[in-house]
Amino acid sequence: MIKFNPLKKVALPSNDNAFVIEPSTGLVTAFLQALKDFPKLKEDQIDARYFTGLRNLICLFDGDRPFLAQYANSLHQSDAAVWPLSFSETDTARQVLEAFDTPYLTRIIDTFVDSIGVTQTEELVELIRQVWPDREPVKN
Amino acid sequence: MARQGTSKKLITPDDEQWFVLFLCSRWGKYKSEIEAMPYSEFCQHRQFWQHYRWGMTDDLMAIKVAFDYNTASRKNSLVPHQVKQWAVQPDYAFKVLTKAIKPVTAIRNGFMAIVEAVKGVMK
Repeated sequence: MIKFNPLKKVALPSNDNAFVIEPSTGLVTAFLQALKDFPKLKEDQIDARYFTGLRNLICLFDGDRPFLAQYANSLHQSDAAVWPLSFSETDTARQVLEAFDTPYLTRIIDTFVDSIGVTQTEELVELIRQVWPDREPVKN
Repeated sequence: MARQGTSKKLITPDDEQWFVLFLCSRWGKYKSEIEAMPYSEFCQHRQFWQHYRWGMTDDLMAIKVAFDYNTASRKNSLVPHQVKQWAVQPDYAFKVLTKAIKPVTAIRNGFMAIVEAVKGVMK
């Protein structure tokens, strides 16, 4: 019987109810699939802004609810004509991510990245590194 | 015809989706169960099979043995795909009996040993 560990979780110092949560394998698969469709800088490289921005968005949670859904909903409430998509509270981060097409997702990431400061981005990147470490060099 | 031997790489799990299916068939689990797995654990297994050459074929056990081996002493450093043979000690801790190293490393180590020996003679 194989048992998996629970997803790693780190609280944001600035907000008691906000967490950075390690993504599941399925969420990362959807994340990589979404990135494949982004415009390429050259061959298989995409703009780091989109990689980091989307990684921040899918790892952020408000309690147990994915921030990505809440963010999409808040954009929808601000202007439903520009942001037509909205989500229910039970939608998972993966379901939300897979509901976007590339242009819509690009706009969401642009809006998110432009709305947070450099310090917040660095704080997020540092926290995400604790739950989703960069690939380690292989020994021997 | 491709050469067959112990150094043949068995699988190349470079594609995430392919590797999800590989784990499904290996562990008899549904795709949804593997997709619910923490990504860090998934990466451990993927790394094991990406770098597997001639160590033990049980990735679950290799990961556990390497973890125990590394936590037993701060000086120890072993990645799961290096575990080749292991034994259980009386206190139920794992002991690594054989560590798999790539021939290139072995040759380099041997070469450096010769260099050191020659240096010793030259002194």
